[in-house]
Amino acid sequence: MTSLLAVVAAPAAGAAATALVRGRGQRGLGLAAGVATAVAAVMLAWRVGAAGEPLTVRGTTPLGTDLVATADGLAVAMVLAASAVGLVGALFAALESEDRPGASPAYWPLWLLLWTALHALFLAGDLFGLYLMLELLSITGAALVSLKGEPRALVASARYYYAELVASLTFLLGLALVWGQAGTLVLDALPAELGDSGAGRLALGVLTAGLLLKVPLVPLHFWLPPAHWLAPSAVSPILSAVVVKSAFTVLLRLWFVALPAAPTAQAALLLGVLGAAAVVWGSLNALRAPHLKLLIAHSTVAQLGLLFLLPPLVLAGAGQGWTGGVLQAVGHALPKAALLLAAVVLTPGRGSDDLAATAGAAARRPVAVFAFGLAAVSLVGLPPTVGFVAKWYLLLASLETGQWWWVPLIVVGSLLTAAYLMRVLSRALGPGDPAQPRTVGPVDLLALVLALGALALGLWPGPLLELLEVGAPLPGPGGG
Amino acid sequence: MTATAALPLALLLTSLVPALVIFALPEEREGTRTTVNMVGAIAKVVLSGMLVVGVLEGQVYEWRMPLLPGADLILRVDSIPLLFVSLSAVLWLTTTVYAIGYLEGDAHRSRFFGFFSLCVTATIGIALAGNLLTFLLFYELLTVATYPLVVHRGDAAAIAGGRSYLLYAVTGGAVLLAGIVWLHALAGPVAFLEPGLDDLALGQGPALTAIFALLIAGLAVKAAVVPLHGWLPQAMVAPAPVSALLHAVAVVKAGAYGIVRITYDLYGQALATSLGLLTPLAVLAAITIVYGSLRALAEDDLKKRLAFSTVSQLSYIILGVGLASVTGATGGLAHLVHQGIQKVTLFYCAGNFAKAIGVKRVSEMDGVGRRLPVTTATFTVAALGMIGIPPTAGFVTKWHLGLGSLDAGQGWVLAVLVASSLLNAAYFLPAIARAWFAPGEAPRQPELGAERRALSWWLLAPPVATAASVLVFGLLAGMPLSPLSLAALIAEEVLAR
Repeated sequence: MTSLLAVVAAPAAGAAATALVRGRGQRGLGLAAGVATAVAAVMLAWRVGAAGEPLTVRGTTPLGTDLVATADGLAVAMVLAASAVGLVGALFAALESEDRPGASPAYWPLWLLLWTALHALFLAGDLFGLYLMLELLSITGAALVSLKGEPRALVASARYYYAELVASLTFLLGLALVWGQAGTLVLDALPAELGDSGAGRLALGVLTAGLLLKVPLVPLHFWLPPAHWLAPSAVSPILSAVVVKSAFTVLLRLWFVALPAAPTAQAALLLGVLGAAAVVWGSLNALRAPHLKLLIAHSTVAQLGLLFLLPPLVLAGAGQGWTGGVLQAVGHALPKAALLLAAVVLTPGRGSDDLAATAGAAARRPVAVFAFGLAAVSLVGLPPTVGFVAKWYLLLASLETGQWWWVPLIVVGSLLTAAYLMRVLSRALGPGDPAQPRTVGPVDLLALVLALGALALGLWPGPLLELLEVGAPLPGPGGG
Repeated sequence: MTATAALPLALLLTSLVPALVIFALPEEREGTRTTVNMVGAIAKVVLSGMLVVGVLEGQVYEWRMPLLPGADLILRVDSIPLLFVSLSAVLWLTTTVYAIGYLEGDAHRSRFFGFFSLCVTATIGIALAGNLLTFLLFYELLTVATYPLVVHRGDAAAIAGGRSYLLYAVTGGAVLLAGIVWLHALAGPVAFLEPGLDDLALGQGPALTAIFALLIAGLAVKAAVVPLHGWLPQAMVAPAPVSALLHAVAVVKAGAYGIVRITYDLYGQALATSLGLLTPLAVLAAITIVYGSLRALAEDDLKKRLAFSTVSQLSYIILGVGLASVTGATGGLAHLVHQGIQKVTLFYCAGNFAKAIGVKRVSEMDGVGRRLPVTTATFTVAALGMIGIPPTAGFVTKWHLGLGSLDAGQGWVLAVLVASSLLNAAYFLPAIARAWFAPGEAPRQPELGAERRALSWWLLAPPVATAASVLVFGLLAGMPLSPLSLAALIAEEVLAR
C-alpha cells in the first residue's frame, strides 16, 4: 500500500518543493523527486508482480467522496512507462543549457505535477478521480507546451487546451449520467445491469467520445501535430510517449472493467475502423511532413490508431488482443521517447528542425542516429524488439477471432512506418557538412538507453507479459 | 550448460561480441579492430569445424531460451544447417580479410565492421534457427544490419539503392511474418524437424498451401526470385566486400536457405509433394534462371552483370528443391556452397579491378589479364565454374541437377540448364577473352586514390583461396567431407523422411 501511495506522493511532493525553490537547488530537488518516483514505481511493480493480483486501496476524501486506487497489470505497466520516460525527460531537462526550458523556473513543478497526474490517473478506480486527473493533465500539458513563450507554440498550446477542455466537459457529462443512474462513481461498484441498459450505453458513449478527443483518434486528432511539434524538446517525449495513452487507459477501464456488458460489437468495430484510418492517415502525413518533429508527431497519430484494434479483438474474446494492445501502448513509449530525444541532436542549429538539417547526421552524431535506428526498428515492429511482440499478439488475436482484415492493416502500417522513418535515416546516412565534428553527448546516450530498453523488452518480454495478466479481463499468453 | 548447448551459442557470439566491441571502439583504433575481427572470424571457423565432426558422428547441438510464452528461441545444428554454417564461417573469414584491405584508409570503418559482424551474426542465426520465430528474428536482423552497409558510401546512388533494398526487404519480411503468424494460429508453435503439419493436411490443405505461398514469397524477395529481384542490381552501389557477402553468403543465400529449410524441414518432402507445391517452385526457379541470365547478357557494368548472374544462379538451389529426386536435391544443396565460393571470388575480383586500375565495365576489361594476372586468373576459374565447365564446382552442380531432373521425370529442366549454360558462357566468356587476349589500354583512373596502387595481400589472398576451393571442390567432389558428399548424405536423409 505504501508503494502504491508513494508513486503519487513522491512526484507531488517534488512538485510542491520545486515550486518554492529556484536555481540549482530546484534542479536538484526535481531530479531527486524524479528518482524517488521511479524507484517507487519499480517497487510497486515488484509488489504487484509478486502478489499476482491487483493491489487496491480504498478511502474517503475530505469532501466525503469515495477514493479508490487499483494497481493492476495495466496500471502498473503504464506507471512504469511514465516513470521511465519521466525520469529520462527530467535528466534531459537538467542537462539543458541555461536558455532552454530546463532553466525555466516553471518547468520543474509543472513536469512533476504532470507526472503525478499520470500516475494517479493510471491507478484511479473511480470516475471522479479519473476526471480530476484528466483535467490536471490537460492543464499541465498545455502549460508545458507553451513554456518557451514562442508565438506559434502559444497558439498550438491554446488549441491543445481548448480541445482538452471540450473533451473534459464531455467526459463530465458522461460522469453525471453514470452518477444519476448508479449513485456511485467507483468503477468496480457500478451495478452490472447498468452496462446492459440504454442509459448505461449512452453514458459510456458520451464518456468514450470525450476520451477519443483526448487520445486523440482520427478524425479528432487536429490539435496533436502542432502541439507535439512545437512543444519544447524536454516536454515532447512524455506528451507523445505517455500522455496520449492516458485517455486510452481510461477507455480500457470503462469498456472492459467498469461496464463490460455495455460495449457492442458494432461500437468496437467502429473504433477499430477509426484506428485503421488513423494508421493510414497519420502515416501519409508523416510521409509528407517537412520537419523532423512534425513527422514524429504525425507518426504518433498513426501509432495511436493501432491501439484501437484492441477493443474489437478483446470483445471477440481474444486474450492475446488485450496483451498485444496494452503492450503496444506500453512498449511504444520507449522507442517514441528515444526518437524525440535523438531528434534534438539530429538537427543542429536552434529553432529549425527542417528535415534537410538531418543530412549527414550519422557522421556527426553516430550514437544518436544508432538510437534513432534502433527505435525505428521497434516502431516498425521488427524482432527482437517490444514492438514486434505487441504486433505478434495483435496478429495472432486477429486470426484467432477470425478478424483477418486487421492483418493486412498491421502489415501495411509497418511498411508505412518503415517508409517515413527512412526519410530521416536515409538523410542522416547521406552526405552532410564534413566540417562538423563527431560528437557523442549525454542526450545521445539518453536516447540510446531508451532504445535499448525497447530491445531488452523484446528479448525478455516474459516478466512484462506476466505483469499484464494481473487483473486482465481475459487470460492471455503470459498466464500459463 | 553442456557442450552440445554451448556450441551453437558460441558460434553466434563469435561475431556478435566482435560487433559490439567494434561499435564501442573509437575510429582510429585500427589495430585492435582488425585483431578483434580476425580472432572472431577464425574462432568461428574452428567452431564450425568442430560442429561438422560432431554432427557427422550423430551429435545434435541445441540451445534454447524462452522468448515468448510457448515459443522459444532455438539454435540447433542438424544436417542442413551444417552446410550453411560452414560456408558462412569460412567466407566470413576470407571476406573480413578482403574488407580490411579494401577499406584501408576509408571513413566510418568502425560502423562498417560493426554492422559487417552483425550481418554475419544474423546469417549464422538464420542457419541455426530451430523454428520459424527464431528464423524470422535473425532474418529481420539481417535486413537491418545490411542497410548501413549498402548505404556505406553515403552518396545519392547509395542512398537510393539502400532505400530500394530496405523497402523490398521489409515488405518481404512482413509477408513472411504474415505466413508465420497464420501457421502459428493454425498449428501452434511448430519447430523445424518436428512432425506436426501432416495431421493438419487432411482438413487444412488449402490453408497450408496458402501459408507455403506466403512463406516462400517472403523469402523469395531476399533470394531475388523474379519478379521480386528488383533491389539486387540496385544494391550494387555497396562496396565490393559487401556485395561479396550479400551475394555469396548473407542476404540472397538466406532467402534460398529459408526456402530449402521450409520445404524439407517444416513441410517435408512428402507433404510438399502431396500438396503439389514443388512443381510451381521448380517452374518459378527455371524462369528466374533464364531471365537472370538474359538480363546479365545486356549489362556492361561488371558488378551489375554479376548481380543478374546471382539472380540466375541462386535459383539453381531452388530448382534442386523443386525436383523431387535425391540427385536433384544433392545438386541444389551442393550449390548452396558452390555458388557461394564462385560468386564471392567474382566479387573480390570485381573489387580488385575497380580499386587497382579503375576498371568497372566489361568493355573496359581489355588486357587486364596482363596487368592483374592473379586476379584475372581467379576470375577466370570462378567464371568457368559459373558456366559449369569441368572440373569446377559449378560443373558438379549442373551435372547433378541434370541427372536429378531425369530421375524426377522432368526432362524440360534439362533444356533450361542447357540454355542457361549457353547464356552463362555468352556473358562470361567475352569478358575472359577480353581480359587475356585483347590488346590493353592505358591505365584508367583508379576508383580510390589518384595513383595506381598495387594490390596488397589482403586483397589477393581471399580470391586465390576461394578460387582454389572452386577447383578442389570440383576435382575432389567424390571425397568424403566435400560439399557434394555432405549434400548427398543430407539429400538421402531428407528425402527418406
